[in-house]
Amino acid sequence: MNYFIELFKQSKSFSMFLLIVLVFMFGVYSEASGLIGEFLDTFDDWVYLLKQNVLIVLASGITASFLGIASGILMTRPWFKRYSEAFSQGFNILSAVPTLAILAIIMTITGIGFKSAFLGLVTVTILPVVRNTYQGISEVPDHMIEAARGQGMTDKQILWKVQIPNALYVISAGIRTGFALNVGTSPLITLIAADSLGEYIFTGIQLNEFNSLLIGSISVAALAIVTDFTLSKLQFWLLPKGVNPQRFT
Amino acid sequence: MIRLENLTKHFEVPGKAPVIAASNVSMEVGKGEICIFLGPSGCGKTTALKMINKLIPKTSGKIFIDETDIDDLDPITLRRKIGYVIQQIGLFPNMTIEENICVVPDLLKMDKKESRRKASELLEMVNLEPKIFLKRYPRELSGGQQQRIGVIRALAADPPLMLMDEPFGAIDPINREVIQDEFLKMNAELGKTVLFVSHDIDEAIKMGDKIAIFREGILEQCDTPDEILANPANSFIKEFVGTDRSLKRLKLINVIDAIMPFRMEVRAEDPLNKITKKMQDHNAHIAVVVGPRGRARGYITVEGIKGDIDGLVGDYIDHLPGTIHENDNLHDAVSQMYAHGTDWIPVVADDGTYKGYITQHTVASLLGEPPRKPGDKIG
Repeated sequence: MNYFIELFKQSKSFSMFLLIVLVFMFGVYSEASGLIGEFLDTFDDWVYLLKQNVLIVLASGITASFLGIASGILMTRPWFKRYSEAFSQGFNILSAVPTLAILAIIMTITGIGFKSAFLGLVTVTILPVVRNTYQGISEVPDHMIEAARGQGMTDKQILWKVQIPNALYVISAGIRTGFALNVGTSPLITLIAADSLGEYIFTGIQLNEFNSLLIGSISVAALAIVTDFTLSKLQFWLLPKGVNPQRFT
Repeated sequence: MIRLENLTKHFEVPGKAPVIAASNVSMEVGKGEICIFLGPSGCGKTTALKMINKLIPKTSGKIFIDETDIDDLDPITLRRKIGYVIQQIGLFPNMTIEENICVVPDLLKMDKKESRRKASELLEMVNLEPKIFLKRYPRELSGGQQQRIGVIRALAADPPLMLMDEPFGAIDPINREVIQDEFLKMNAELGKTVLFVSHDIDEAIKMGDKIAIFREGILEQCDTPDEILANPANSFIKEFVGTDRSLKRLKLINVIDAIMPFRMEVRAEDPLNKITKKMQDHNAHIAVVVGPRGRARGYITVEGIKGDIDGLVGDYIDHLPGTIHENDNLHDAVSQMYAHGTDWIPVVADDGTYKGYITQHTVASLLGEPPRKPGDKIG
């Protein structure tokens, strides 16, 4: 047994081989169970739902990032400081509310459809962005700010030249978390009549259709992985070298 | 250059009497002088410093820089005209070394090309190769290198005044010596007025033209290092500078200023009778033998010759007990003497030429005398 573990650890080609075997077995299973047939039958639907899903994830994610960064910065401003504790407590409470409940509450206000789904996803995504922006900026060491002030930077210059650049990595981590939550929540918006890959999942559950269920969940999982991968690449290439721990040598 | 008049700072503590961090501090520092603010922690030295660039607002009193009342200047303009160095360095990790150095010039919208040229010039002054360091980030540098950048960043816009808040406090002792020497050398060239906070008496003696000693917000004494070591104003200062203050004074005197007024310099081919006469005239019992190019080769003593008057100097040469460089201080010289178990040591210049010698006796009598000014010679 130990021999096999060693072999597995050392041999890249062996693990590659195992992977190919797994994919092959999965292919055999999907063919046998009619998964591929089902997928091909509903391919047009799948493309449409995927597009809608990606669209709402991008729209709500980007909106939430901008709003989140803006409110995070606002919370660190001296004149806002005395409310910021209340603000961050509010955000913390909000993040404790289950996402399904958030969607339900929003639906009662703005009705069903894309608009409500959009608002719901923004609410879900914005929380980690705000929290990380606020923390990232507040955690820039005092001595760095003292050095900046001592050299004659105005408060505004300190914010844009020192605090925000040095908080960028923490902020980007917040955006990544936000997007992960966003993609994870996106199937649920089917429940308030917005188009997403969740349609496959909920249809599958209701009709006891395993194939439909599998198509939906595998697609969402793939979407989540691709999103996170893309964001991590963006994080790697867009953040300046001096503040990017991924690029520290 | 800079004058403080009755500078006072009270920190309000809710429900308690205010904490007095500075109380009627008055002093003046001339152009090009390095003045050390010295004292135990919590004595108000940092507060006094930070009131100058308005990082801490003063309660009362006046500060004049070049006869301009700083109340008439807004904090931003004022700070851009004053170099500022702190113990924690505070380089900005998001900027390259070049950008870090050029922060103030860029804030002042100075010509970019010019400020970049100046940045590499300054890097060379602290012995860092511009080609290697300009494009690096602060985190790729060691602590000592970072603080060198911290210092030259403060110099980048060529401010006449520098404030330094324990700048070398967090650097290991060996590097600290080096960076202190570099700074002294650099400032000898640049001639900035420097206010420098320290809690290290040795650093103060080494760096300061003047030392201002603070206790609980009160300026206890402000004088030259030698004056403070020789005549401490009160028991607090006496205790603060330490019981070995006489030894510390040794560091303030250069070897060249303590050389014996006559230099017994003989050559190997000199006849002994002439030399013996000369030594008797000066009441000296040592003469140093020099080579053709004036380098110290060895020495002869009256005892060693044993009354021989027919021979040559060359027959009686002994090995030198080591040498000391003319620009070293007496502390090093005394240490050399003890190391070699001798009571005298010859002094040499850069190129090894013999300059004269010093004895333990002259050193001891120097310390008994009133404080010396730089350049005083033995009478």
